[in-house]
Order: sequence, then C-alpha cells, then structure tokens
Amino acid sequence: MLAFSIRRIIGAIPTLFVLIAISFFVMRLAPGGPFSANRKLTEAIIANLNKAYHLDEPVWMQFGRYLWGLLHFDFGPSMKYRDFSVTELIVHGFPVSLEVGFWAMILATVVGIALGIAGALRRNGATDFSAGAIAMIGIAIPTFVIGPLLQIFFGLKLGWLPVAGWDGSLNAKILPIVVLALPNIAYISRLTRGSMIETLRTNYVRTARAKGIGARRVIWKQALTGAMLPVVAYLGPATAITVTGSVIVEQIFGIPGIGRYFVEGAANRDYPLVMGVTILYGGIVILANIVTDVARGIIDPKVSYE
Amino acid sequence: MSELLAGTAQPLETVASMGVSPFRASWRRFSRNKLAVGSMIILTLITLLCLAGPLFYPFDPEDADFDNIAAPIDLFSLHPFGTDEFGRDLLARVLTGGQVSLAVGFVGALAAVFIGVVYGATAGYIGGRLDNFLMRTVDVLYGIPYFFLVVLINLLVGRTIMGLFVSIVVVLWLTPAVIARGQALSLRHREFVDAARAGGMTEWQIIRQHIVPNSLNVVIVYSSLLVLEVIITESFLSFLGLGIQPPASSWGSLIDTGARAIETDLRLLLLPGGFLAATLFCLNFIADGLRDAFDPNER
Repeated sequence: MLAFSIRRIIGAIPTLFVLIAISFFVMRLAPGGPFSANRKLTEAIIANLNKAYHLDEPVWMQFGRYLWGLLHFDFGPSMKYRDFSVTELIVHGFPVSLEVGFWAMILATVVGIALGIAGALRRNGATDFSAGAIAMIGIAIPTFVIGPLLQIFFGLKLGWLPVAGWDGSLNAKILPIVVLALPNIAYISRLTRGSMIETLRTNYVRTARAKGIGARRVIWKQALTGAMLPVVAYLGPATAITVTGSVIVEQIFGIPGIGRYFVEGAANRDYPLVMGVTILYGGIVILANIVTDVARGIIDPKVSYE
Repeated sequence: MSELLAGTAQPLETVASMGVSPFRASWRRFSRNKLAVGSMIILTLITLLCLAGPLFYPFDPEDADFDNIAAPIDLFSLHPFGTDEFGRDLLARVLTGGQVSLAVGFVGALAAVFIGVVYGATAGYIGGRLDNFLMRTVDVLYGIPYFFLVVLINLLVGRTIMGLFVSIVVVLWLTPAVIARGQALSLRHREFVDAARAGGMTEWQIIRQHIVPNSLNVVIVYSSLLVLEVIITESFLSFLGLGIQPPASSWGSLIDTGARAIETDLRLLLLPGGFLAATLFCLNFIADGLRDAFDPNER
C-alpha cells in the first residue's frame, strides 16, 4: 500500500516537470513581452528592465533559475502588480479560492450522492425525473450561462442574495459555491444512480436480502459501499472540473481568488503570474488524482497495486 | 453479429436483419431513438440557420444602426430581435457568432479525432518501445488540467480563430488516441492483418488501410462528445476574453457581453445563451443515442 502510494507519487513527477517546462517555454516564446503594452520606453530602460527580470540571460539559465526558485516556493515577481511577488499574490488569493472550491466539492458530493440514491431507489418516479433534469442542466448548460441567470433571479428579481462581490459574509458565498458545484452534482448523481442500480442487482446484495437483512440496512451498508466505487474514482476529475470552474466563477462573481489572477495575467501577458497559478492548480489536480488512486486501492479489493 | 442483435432486436426483425452490417444495425438502433433523432434534426436546423441565415438577412453583424440603438425585441420591426448598445443587430450577431462556434466545434473535433486515431493506431500496432514512449507522453499530458494547457498554448499561437482552434485541438486529441490504441492492440494479430503483412504491405500501409479505418468506428461515439467539449472550451475562452477578439464574435464572447449587461438588457445574455444551451443539449442527446446504438454492452 505504502509502496504503491510512493510509486504513484514518483510517477507524477514527470507530469509536474512537463507542466512546468511547457508553461515556462510557452511564456518565453509567446509574442508580446510584458512591457510592450506600456507607453513608449527608451531602449536603455527596456534593457534595464530585462536585466532586472533576468530576461537577458539564455533561456536555459532562466529556466534553471525558475526551477530553483520553485523549490523555495518562489514564483518570481509579478510583471503587472509591480509591488507584489507572485507568491504574495497567491498567498493572498488562494485561501479565498480554496474556501469556495472546498465547499463546492462537499456540496457536490453530498447532494450528488443523495440525488443519485433517491433516483436509483425510486426509478422513473418524480424524484428520479427531477434529479435527471438537474443532471442534464448541470451537464449541458455551461457555468457561465447559469451563473448570470442565477444572479438575475436571486440577486435582482428576488433580491435575496448579493449579485456579486466578496465581503466575507455567508450570503455572498452561497451563489458562487452552488454554481461551482452544479456540474459536479450532475456528474456525481448520474454516476451514483447508475452504479447503485447495478449494485442492487448483484448477487451479494440479493444474498444479503435472502439472509433476512432489512432493506434499509442492505441499502446503506451493503449496496452503498459497492456503489461508491465509481464515485470515489471520479473525485480526481471532479477536482479538475472544480479548479477550472473556479476561474469562471471568480470572474462572474468578482471573487478575489487566484482564478481571477489567472485570467487577468493571461490577458496582460503577466507571464510569472500565469505560470504560478497554472503550476499550483496543475499540482493540485495531480495530487487529487494520486489521492483518488490510493483511496480506490483502499476501498476496492479488485484494484491491484501492480 | 448475431449476439449483438440478440438483446435488442424484436423477433420479427431478427430475420430481416440477417446479413446487415454492424454499422447498419447500429444505425437502425440509433434511428429508433426519438430523442437522439429529434436532437439531430434540431441541431441541423440550428446549423443551417447560422450558415444560411446571414446570407438572406439584410443586416451585417458589425454595422451599427445609429437610429436604433438598444432596440427591444419586436418581431414586426426592422430588427426583430433588437439591437445591442452599439446598434448592431442582435440576431445577425448571434447567427454569425454561431458560425464560428459550430465551425470550431466540428472541424476541431474532426482534427482531434484524426490526430488521435493516427497516433493511437501507430502506437498500438507497432507496439514495443515506441508504444511505451508514445503512451507515456499521453499519460504525462493527461495529468495536466487541460483548460490551463489550452490557455498556455493560446498565448503562444495568438488570439485569432485559427489560433484558438489550434490550441484546443493540440490538447483534445488525447482521449481518441487512448481509445484507438486499445482497438489497434486487439487488431494487430487478427488474420486479415497477418494476411496483409504476408501479402507484402509495409507497416505504414497496414496502419493506414487496416488499423485506422477499423479503429474509427470505436471513436465515432466519443467524437460526438468531443464536438461538445470543443464548443464549450471555445465559448469558455471567449467568455473570459481570451478567445475570439472583437469585433468578431462567437457565442462565448456574446454571452460575455450579455453577462456584463444583465441589469439593463437580459436579451443580450438569453439569445446567445439559449442558442448555445440548445446546441449543447442536442449534442448530449446525440452522444447518448450513439453510445446506446453502437455500444449495447455499455449499459
């Protein structure tokens, strides 16, 4: 088990390295330097700026410098927010992103599983139908359409929740978390429903029923454990969807997290900022995939560590 | 063949289906799925509307009509769906925006499937070290959240329609490659491939004429989902202002404009959003139908 985890972590190192290398070289090769958008500068000033940011060194030396910095959690200086380093920006914005993302994952898992079970137990009933409809909407209508629609409905028409903004109050957090959770609610409820229906038909569940174990106990103890396997396997991709979705949600609701820095950075060609967020989020997704694999190994006896 | 049909066909049709190719049988199953066929018809209508509509429509999407700025929806007026805050006709903008979104979606999915199938078929058929190397590369790229990769490559190739297209295709060929490789692995020792080899075909000829065509039918089901994914990714980027740049538009960039104006004018969000959502719904139902029809064991 431990050996498996370690092997899985070592296997992820090339992915992380390629991610860092791709982001670094793309940023260096991309047209339009960070200073070209500014007012006209004299050559001497540009040369000085390039020197200050080590842009005059050979590319491989810059890459080495960047890697060395990463080992110290130093993502370099931001080129747009001159007074901040990328690390400072990330430290400032990440807790906000993490809070929204964490609660969105919790909400998606709880509601998704509940809807899925309800649908599986009363197939083709009203609950099943509405759960299916929610799932369909969550999958087919993208976040950036649902978000503004909910803003209109709950923010403007009903006036229950603030349209956007982030003042730390609970009310301001509800809409972003729900919107971020919606696609995953859809996928998780579909997965749970499918695998629950399948599990209820298996021999071991029938045996348990035949032995006289009550329906409720069978559902919660026997069937649910078996039905959860695909859901656990989905948690890796769910993290990726949440991370990507947070970029959109932070943009729509004006949340000061690092997803918004990513969009602004890409628009302003603030290379170090874009790289920092990409590497951090890439690292989180890679880590989530490892955790998912290990968790599957623990729960599912059929997964071998070979 | 017979076992494919046994589960689904009604007794009467079993006789009639004798000698029908698997593809025809799958197609027959698909055409019985009303939801999927209905979606296909609606999607075709949307596509035709976007392609042909602007030809007959009197307004250009980028021309401002200063006499009718922010005109409301009035089906019997000059601008039946109104105009935006610059006086540009909304329907014209949504239709030409749809051309961009749909074109990027379909051509992008096609290109990604093509690259993926050739890559995967080569890896699976040749096998050995090459397979190991090619699939390790895919594994490494798979670990990276693809949206961030698309944005990075988009920064490199530029924010034109072509650049957007390239950056999406470069990232989305991975899954077709994995599917095609699996198929190629199972094909490489089949009799007809051995026969082709004995007959003197080169490895590349075999890949081109036997492995790739035989891997394609497995990938068909996935490709409908890929169209969906490409369209969403494109709108996603355009919504964030990282994709299509004004004055050109796609559904994503129109939704972005609409979302900024929700307090004053809902139509700007609802019209492009409605078109996009309808298209995505249709593609979803079609993908479900294709999966049921081509892969009866899946459920």
